[in-house]
Amino acid sequence: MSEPDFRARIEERFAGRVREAYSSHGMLTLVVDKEIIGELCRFLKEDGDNRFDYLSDLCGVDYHPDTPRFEVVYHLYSIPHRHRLRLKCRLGEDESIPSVTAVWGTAGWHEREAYDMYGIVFDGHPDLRRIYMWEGFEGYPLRKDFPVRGYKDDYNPFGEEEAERPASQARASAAGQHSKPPRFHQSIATARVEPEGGARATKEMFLNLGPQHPSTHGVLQLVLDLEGEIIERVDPIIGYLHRGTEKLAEGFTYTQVFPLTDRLDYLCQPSNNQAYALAVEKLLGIEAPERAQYIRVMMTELSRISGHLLISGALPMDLGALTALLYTMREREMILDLLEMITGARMHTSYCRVGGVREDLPEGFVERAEEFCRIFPRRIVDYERLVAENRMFLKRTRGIGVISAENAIDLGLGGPNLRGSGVDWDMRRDNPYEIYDRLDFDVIVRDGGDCYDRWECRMEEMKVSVKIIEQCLRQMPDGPVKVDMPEIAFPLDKQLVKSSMEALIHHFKVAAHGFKVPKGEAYSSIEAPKGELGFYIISDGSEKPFRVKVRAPSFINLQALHLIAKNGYIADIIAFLGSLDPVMAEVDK
Amino acid sequence: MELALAVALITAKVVIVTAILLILPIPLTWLERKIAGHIQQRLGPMRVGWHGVLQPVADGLKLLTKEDNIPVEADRRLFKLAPIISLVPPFVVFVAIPFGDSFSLLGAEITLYISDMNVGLLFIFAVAGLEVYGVIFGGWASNSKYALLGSLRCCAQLISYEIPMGFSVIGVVMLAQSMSLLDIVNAQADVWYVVYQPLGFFVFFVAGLAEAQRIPFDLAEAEGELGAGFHTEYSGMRFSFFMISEYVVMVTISVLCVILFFGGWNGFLIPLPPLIWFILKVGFFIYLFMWFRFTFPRYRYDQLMAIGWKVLLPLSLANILLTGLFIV
Amino acid sequence: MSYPGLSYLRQSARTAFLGELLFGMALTFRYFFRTKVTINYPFEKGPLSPRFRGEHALRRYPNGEERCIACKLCEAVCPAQAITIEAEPRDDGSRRATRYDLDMVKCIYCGMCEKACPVDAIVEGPNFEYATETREELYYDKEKLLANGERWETEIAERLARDAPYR
Repeated sequence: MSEPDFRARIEERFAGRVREAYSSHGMLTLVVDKEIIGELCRFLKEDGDNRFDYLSDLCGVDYHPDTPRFEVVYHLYSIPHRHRLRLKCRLGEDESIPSVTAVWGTAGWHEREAYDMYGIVFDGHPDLRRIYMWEGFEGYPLRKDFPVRGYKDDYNPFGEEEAERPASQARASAAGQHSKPPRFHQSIATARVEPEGGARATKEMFLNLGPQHPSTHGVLQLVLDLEGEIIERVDPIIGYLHRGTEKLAEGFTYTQVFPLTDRLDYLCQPSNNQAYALAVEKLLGIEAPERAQYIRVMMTELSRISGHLLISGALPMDLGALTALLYTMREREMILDLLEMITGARMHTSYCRVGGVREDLPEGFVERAEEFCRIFPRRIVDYERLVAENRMFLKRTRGIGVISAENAIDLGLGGPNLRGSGVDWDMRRDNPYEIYDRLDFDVIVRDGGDCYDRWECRMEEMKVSVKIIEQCLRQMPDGPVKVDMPEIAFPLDKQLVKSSMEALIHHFKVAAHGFKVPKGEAYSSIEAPKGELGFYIISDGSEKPFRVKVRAPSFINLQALHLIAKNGYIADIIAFLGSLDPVMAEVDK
Repeated sequence: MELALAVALITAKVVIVTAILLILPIPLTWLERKIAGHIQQRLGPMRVGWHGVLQPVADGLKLLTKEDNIPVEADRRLFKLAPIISLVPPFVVFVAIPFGDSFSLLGAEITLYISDMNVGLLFIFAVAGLEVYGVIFGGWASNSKYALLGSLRCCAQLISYEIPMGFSVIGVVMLAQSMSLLDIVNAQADVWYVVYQPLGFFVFFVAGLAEAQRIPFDLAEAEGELGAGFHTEYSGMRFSFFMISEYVVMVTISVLCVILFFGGWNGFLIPLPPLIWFILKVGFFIYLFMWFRFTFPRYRYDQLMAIGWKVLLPLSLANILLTGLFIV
Repeated sequence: MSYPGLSYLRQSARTAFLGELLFGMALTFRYFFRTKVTINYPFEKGPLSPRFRGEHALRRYPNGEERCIACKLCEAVCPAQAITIEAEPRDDGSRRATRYDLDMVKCIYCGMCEKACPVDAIVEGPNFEYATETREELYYDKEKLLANGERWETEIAERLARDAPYR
C-alpha cells in the first residue's frame, strides 16, 4: 500500500484532528492532537491496510522557550508492508499525554525514558518511574534549560550553582507527584513484612543480581523476587552507565558526534558510525561515494561478526563452558586486527565521516580480509562441535526463554532476537540502504524463539556476513572514499591543504566550526547486529544538532527480560541475558 | 619398643600424607591453569618462574597476606569454623586409602597405607559425607544470599549424589567380597573391575564429579550465577581452605576411581614400579577432571537433581542387579 | 540416506554413548597441542598498524624547528576538549604556542586533532605503553609532547610515509 493511500485512510477516519501532514526526507509525518493519540495508534496498528505493528521509537523533544514546549515523536513501522510513519504531538509543560503501552508493549520503557529525560507524563502508563536517572534525582536532564554539567551537589562538584536552577527543573514540579518509589525498595519492604498465618508461612526473597556480577555483561542490576530458585518477578535497574550521549551530542558539531556513537554498542562501532552518518547524510541530501558505501557495509559486517562472536561465546561461558568464549575471542582478535589496520583503533574506530569514510583501505587489506573469510567458516564448525550439539548446552537453552513472534514484535525486539522468534524481517533486505540491494545474502530465521534459536541465528548470521564481506571485496569499485564537498569533508588529499589557499580556508572552517545542516528532521536506521539501530536527528540549521535520539536496540531488547524471566530459574536468567545480547553501554546511552 | 616404633611409623606416615596433600594444590592449580590455557590456545601463566610454575606460590603468598574479612552481620564463630570443617574430612579420608602394598626398608616391612580397615570403603563414605557441614556452615554464616543459595544447592547435590555413588561401589564390593581397599586392589591383579563394572564406574565417576563439585556439576559455586557460591564472602586464607579442600576431594575421587575400578597400583603391559603406576593413573583422572571443566557447560539445579535421582540412581541399582546375576 | 529408523537409531546410540560429548572432548584435546595464539606480552609484541592511534607527540621539522603554529584547530576540533593552547609571537616574529597542554586522561584517542592539523605537528604515535602511577603524570605539556616527538620521530615518520597515499 503506497503512502498516499494510507494517508488518505487516516485523514478520512480522523478528519479534522490531524493538524498537519507532510513528507519529510521520505517519511510521512502527521502532527496530531494528543487526545487522539491512543485511538489513532490502535487504529494504525490494527487497521489491515496500515498494520503499523512495530513501534520503532518514541521520544520527547524540548523546544524551549517555544510554547507549547514539548513534542512527543512516534516512529512507526509496519513489518507486513515495510513502510514507516512518524506521528508528532505537541504538549505544554503541565500537560500529560495518553500512554500507548496498551498498543505496543515496547512503549513501556520508551515512555519511561521520555518521562525521565523531559518530565513528560504519560497517562495510563502502568509503571511510570525514572529509568536512567536514580530515584530522587531532581530535574529532567534533556530539557534545554538543564545544563550539561548538571547542578552542584555532593557527587558533582563541577555542576552549576543550585541557585540558578529554573523552577521547571525542581523536584516539586507538576510531574513529580507521579513518581513512584523504586520497586526494589518496595521489595525489601515486602520481604520484611511478617508473614500472615503464623511463622511457617513462606515469604519471597529478593536478590540483587548486579550491578557487579560476572554474567550481567556490564553494569546491569536485576532485582529478582525469588521463590526458592524460581524467579517470580524481575526488575532491571539500568542507568549505571548513563553518559547522556544525546545531551552531549547537542553540544557537539556533527563530526564530533562520531566518537560518541562509537561508545554506544562498543562491540560493533562501525555500524553505529554508519547509522549516524546515514542520518546526517539524509538531512544534507547527499550520498557517500560508492566505494565508501562498500567499505562501510563491509565494516559493519565485520563488526557484526565481532559482536556476534563475543555473545555467542559468552552465552556458553556463562553456562560454564569457558573455552567457547576463548575460541570465539581468538577469531574476534583477527577482526580487531583488521579494524586496527583500517582505522587505527581496535575498539573506538570513529571511521565513518559525513559523506564517506575517513581514509581509504590500506595496502594489503584485501588479502588479509580474504584470508579471514577463508579461515573463519572453518572455525565456526569448531564452535558448533564444541557447543551446539552438547546435551548440557541444549538442556540449558532449548525451550528456555521462549518469546513468541507476536510478543517479539509487540516488544519491538530486533535482530536475531526477533528473527529467532520466527519474524522474517531484516532491514538489509527489506529496506535496503547503501549497497545492500546489490548483495546476495540470506536472512536467517528460526521459529522456536528460545535461547538456542537466538544463539543459532547469530551463528548462522556470521556465515552470512562472511559471504557479504566476500561480495563487498569482489565488487568494490575504485574511486574516492568521501564526497568532494570541501565545505563538509576534509579534502581527500591532505597535501592540497598545504598548496591551495581555498582548500586551507575550507579546512579551517570545517575543523573549527563544522558544517551547517539545513533545518529539518530525519530518521534513519540500519540493521545493526543487535537490531534496528536508528538515529533521529532534528536540525535547527546550525552546525550542531538540535536533538539526537538514538533508537538503541539493546535498550529495547532488554525490556523482554521481564517477560521471559518469569517462572524461570536463577540459572536461566544468565541464559536469557546471554541470548538477548544487551550491551550495557548501548542500553544506557 | 615395637609399639613405639609402630606409633612413630604411623605418625610419620600421617605427617607425610598430610604434607603431600597440603602441598598438592600448588602443582594442581598450576596444572589446571596450564591445561586451561593450552586447551584454549593460550599460554597460561608465564611470568613467575619457568612457565609460571611458581605462580601458585605467589598466589598463596597473596592469599596469606590478604585482609581477613568477616562480614559485619556474619555468625563469626561458624564463619571461622566452616573452612576447617570443610578441610578436615578430605584429609581424614586418606587414612583408609592405600597407595601401594608394602616395601622393605632396613629389614622392616613398611606398608604404603596408614591403616587397612576392613570397613575402609564405609569409612571413606562416612567421613567424606561430613564435608557438607563445612559448606552449609559457610553459606549460612556468611549471611549473604548468594552464599546461602550456593550452600543450599551444594548440600542438596552432595546428599543426593552420595546415594548413587554408594550404590555404584556395591558391585565392586560384591565382586571383591571385601570392603577393605587393599583386598579390592589385590582382587584386581588380573582383570580390572572396570571391565566387569563399566556401568558402576560410569555412575561412580559422574557422581564423583558432582561430589567434587566440578563442571558440569559445579552448581554450588557457579560463578556465572552466584558469584562464587558458598564461599562468596570468604577471602584470604579462609578462602584458600575451601580451595585446598576442593582439590583434595578431586584427588580423592581420582584415587578412588583408580583403586575401585582401575586396578590400583597393578600395572598393565609395561612393568613399572607399582607406585608410579598408581600416580600415573591418578594423574590421568585428574587431567580428565580438568579436561571436562574446560569442555563442558554446567547443568541447572533442577536438571542436576533429575540426573541424580532419575538417571544415576536407577543405573546404579540396575548395576547391583546385574552384578548379582553375574555372580550367581 | 533417508531411513528415518536408522537415523533415529544413530541418534539414540549417540546419546547413550555420549557421542557429542566425546566429540567436544576430542576438539579440546586437539587444541591442547596446537600452536598458541597468545603472545608472551612484555617480551613479545604484536604488529601495529601504521594508523594506530596511540600516545600523542608534537613533531619538529628536520631542521629542528617545531611544526606547531598554534592555529588551535586541534583545540577546536577535539570532542573531549582535552587540548589547551596559548600562543604568542616569538622573538623572531613567528607565531608559536607558549602552552600546549594535552590532558591524556580526557583524551579519547579519536585522531581528530591529527586530521585537523594543517602542518602535521600533532600526531598520534605508535606508543601505547605509557601508563603512569599518578594522574598528574598524564597531564602532558608542550615539553613532554615535543620530547615524545623526538623519541618516536623515526617510527612516526615511517608510519606517515607508509600511510601517506591514503591521507
